[in-house]
Amino acid sequence: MDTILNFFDKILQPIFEITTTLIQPILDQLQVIGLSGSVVNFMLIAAILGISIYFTLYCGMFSLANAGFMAIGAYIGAILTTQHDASLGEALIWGMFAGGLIALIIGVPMLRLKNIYLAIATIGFGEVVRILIREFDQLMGNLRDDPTVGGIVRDILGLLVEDVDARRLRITYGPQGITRIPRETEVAHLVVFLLVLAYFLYRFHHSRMGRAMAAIRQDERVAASQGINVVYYKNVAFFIGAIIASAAGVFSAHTIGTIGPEDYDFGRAVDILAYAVLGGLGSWVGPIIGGLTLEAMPEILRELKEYTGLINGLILLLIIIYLPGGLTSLFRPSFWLSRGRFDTAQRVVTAGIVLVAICNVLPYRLEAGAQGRVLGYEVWGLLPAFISVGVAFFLVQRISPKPEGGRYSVLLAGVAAGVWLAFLILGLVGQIENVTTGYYLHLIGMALIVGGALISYPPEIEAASQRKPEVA
Amino acid sequence: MLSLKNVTRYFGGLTALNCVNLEASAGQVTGLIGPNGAGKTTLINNISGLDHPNSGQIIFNGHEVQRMAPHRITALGLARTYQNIRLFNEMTVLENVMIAQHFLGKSTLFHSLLQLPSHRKEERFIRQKSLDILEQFGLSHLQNELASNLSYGDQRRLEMARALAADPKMVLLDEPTAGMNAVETEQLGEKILDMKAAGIAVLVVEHDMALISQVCDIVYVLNFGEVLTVGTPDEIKRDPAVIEAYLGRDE
Amino acid sequence: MDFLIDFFNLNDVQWVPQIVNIIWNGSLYSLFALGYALIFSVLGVLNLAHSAIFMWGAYVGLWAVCGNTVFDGQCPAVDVPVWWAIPAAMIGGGIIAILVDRIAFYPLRQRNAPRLSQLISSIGIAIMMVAIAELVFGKERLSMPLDAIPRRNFDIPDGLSIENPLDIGRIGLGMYVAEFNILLTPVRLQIIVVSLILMIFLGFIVTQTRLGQGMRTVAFSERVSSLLGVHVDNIYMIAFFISGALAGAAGMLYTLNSNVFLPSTGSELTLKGLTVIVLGGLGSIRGAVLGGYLVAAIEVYMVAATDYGGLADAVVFFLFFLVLMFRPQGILGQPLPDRA
Repeated sequence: MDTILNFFDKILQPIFEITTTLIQPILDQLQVIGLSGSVVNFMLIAAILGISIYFTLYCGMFSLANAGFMAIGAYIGAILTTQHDASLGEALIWGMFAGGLIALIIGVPMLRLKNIYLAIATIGFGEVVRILIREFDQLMGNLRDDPTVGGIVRDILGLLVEDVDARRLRITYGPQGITRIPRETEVAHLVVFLLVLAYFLYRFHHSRMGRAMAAIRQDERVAASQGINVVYYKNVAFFIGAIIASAAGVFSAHTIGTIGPEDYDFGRAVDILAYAVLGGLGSWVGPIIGGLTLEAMPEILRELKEYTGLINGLILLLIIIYLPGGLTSLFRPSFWLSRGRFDTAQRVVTAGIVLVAICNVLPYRLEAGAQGRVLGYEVWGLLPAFISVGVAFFLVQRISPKPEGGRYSVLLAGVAAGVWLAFLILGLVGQIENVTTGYYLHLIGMALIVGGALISYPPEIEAASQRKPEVA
Repeated sequence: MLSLKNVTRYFGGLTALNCVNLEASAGQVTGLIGPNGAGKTTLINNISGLDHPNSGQIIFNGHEVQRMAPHRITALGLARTYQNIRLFNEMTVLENVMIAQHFLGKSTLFHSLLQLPSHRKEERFIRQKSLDILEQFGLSHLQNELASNLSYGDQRRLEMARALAADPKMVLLDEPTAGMNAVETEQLGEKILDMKAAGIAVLVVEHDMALISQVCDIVYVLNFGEVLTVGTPDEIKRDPAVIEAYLGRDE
Repeated sequence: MDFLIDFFNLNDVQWVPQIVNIIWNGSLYSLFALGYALIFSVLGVLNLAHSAIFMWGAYVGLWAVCGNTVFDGQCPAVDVPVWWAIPAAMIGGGIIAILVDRIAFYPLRQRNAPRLSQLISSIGIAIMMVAIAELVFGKERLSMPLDAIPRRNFDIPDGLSIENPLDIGRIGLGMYVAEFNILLTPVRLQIIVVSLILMIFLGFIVTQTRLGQGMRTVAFSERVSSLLGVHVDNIYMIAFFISGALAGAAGMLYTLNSNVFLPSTGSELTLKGLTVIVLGGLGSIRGAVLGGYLVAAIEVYMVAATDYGGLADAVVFFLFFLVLMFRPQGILGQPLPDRA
């Protein structure tokens, strides 16, 4: 074991060094827009997590179990490095091993469930993992002293801690969690890991297995009668997702240095889902982009940190309603070329989101150049102008077939456009120096856009003809 | 090739199939007709493993398959099409055909990751074979189109191509002419006769009596989940019981 | 019997107070889960924003009795009888639920998006609602004045240790029945009574009225019901209103009991509510009631009779797994077709 690890060390060390040199310029650039230190680590970890859920979704399984696997990886890794002086590499291997093992054990019974039943079972799995980690020390302490099962429990615990007979077991440290984990994760580790995963994904798509999983996602029953072993591939996808999530757990524990059971609650599962939803599942790049973006955003939008929850929720909602293909669908020519009202709505909202992003990055860019932070705020003026034109365009389009709905929309669009035009002019003339005024105007405008879009929504695309039979 | 013995399937209190006995042999086209709700699709689903009978035996190619998972039955040489077309809509035409040869392949993800020669060879082989089949069905110019973008007739043909891609010993066709005009139906009949000539056993569920007369060697009439009668197409057309079963129910 | 009592370690358990605990906790869970189950049965979607509606209902109720001061993050005095908060919370919850439907579900329904997309959008709006509540009411906890919630004074009995006298005020002590060692507050009584009334009322609506018939038809098939002349959209709206009203009532009662109003209130109930409706049977109204009491019983048992109070949730989830594996339709649910 040791010789193998040494061998890998010898190969990997130079790779990490080269990577570090190569990515340094990029890191410098990121620092300019406010992304530095462990934020970059978290972004990359989010991308890895996005990939982990991508595998299950690619196979048509809606699994929210990945936060649980992340917890398993994080705790196994942290226990090894804090109590056994293991290296990060060893922690990674054992963390992935543990996550994979548990995925195999629970996968067989659990993956018989479908759709919403699978989703809630995986939510339940995550909760059980979290609670068991929290209560682990007490539970194991009692079991250890039990006359019947004590022996086995001691053997198992012996793998984790040296002093099995300590009066109070300290393995997961209950609700407080494990502290002082060595912060050994470097950006280079994550970049290399991510690149390996990216290659893996790339090949996966063009492999026999990738095709089979795509077929299962699209129509499980037909896939089965095309000779695909559905149960097997579902378990494989779940297993791969689990080991990747475990690896992300190990990396994140060794980035933060402190972990607790509450870090891996339902909210974390939702975050992981959001990476995939935001990026889109149309291509393997999606979850990576989604993870990077969503994790970077609170840092870039630092003045809006207060509104992080609001923005995250809004993004999830807008993307799932207007951009079901996620951000990556923007890169498809068909997205910009297709006709129909739904597509127009998609484009408008997308343009809005992209502009929000640009306008929020700009202040920092400018700040780096001069101290022109206030100048940056004037850029806000451009955003509403763009969006209001887009919204007006979209809403006017709505009028023709449905006059009664259109009237409100036009009214709203008009007000929105007016507010923002005023803002733009004031901003350009330099009348707005007070930042808070800008905020309020911005929020009002945002509310109007969202309100207008939602009221005038939805498009009547051929719902009836696209309906698939409910009961197969 | 295929033989059903006393196959019974009920859903709750509803009996969908009641003691069905059926034989289909290689190089023969077997027809299955019956009014709507007679249990034809249930029967097909039971044969292909998507549903399992409550009692009775299904023997395919010398194996008892009534409890087998669908992918294993497919591996024994069974292929099918669906009443309402079920293609993989997010895949291209070529991929749809390639997926049907999935179980013939052996390469794993590991082979793919390392781009081993055996994997490349296998991919090339599957691709070439799929292209050949598309060529046969006149779809090769559409190979990179998404399946959902195809016209209705092309989708039907693609489904048939997919069914034949894995060199099946038997093909189940569930209402293959639904939505087709007379000329297309005639062409489809030719295709079925080609299959027959190639020694494939064909079981075709149909409403279109013209097609049945054109291709079938033997016809089973199903009514209320029971086999009403068996005979050649001509015998069936004259059978008063069959006429009664259909009267006022169909067309 | 004795064996069972030994096995479950029930010797030292004081039966009556624990059963009372099960009843009031279970009533609350059931009330919360009813709305959850109603939406699942009518629309076939899990509304994970249900707990956010629950929390908003509580705030609306508080606003109704406290007035606009709640927006400054305080509630110095209550001008009207505090029980008025319950109907206010119900109306508020109902309206908010309709808004949630319009914003998060309606567009996706129109597009015939997969049901799992609706699950995701419900998560999205739940996050937003909590964030908005934090902006509107502040992140700090709000409480009603101590004298607002009626209570009866009595001597603290021996053996009942209440370390912090303030706690008495906050839980609003009502009645102490010495011979049974029961601590029954008016709020808890209220919980039991209001829950029972609402459950019976909902049962009546679903089984006896035309509206309920419409709901059941829509639950069976949206297409069939529009063919039968049922206004599907109206049914959805009413179902959301009822579900929101139930959530609002549950939220108000829950917070009256603890007298702690926080934007994060109810987040722990999102998943607990899920276990309740899964155990009882997804989409089954009676199942939700049964599940509520079952979950409460497990919790009370774990806390009262074992050393593993912290594992109560794990036990609940373990049971939930077993049910999903072997009886996915739940204890009382009908076998469902494969609905996504």
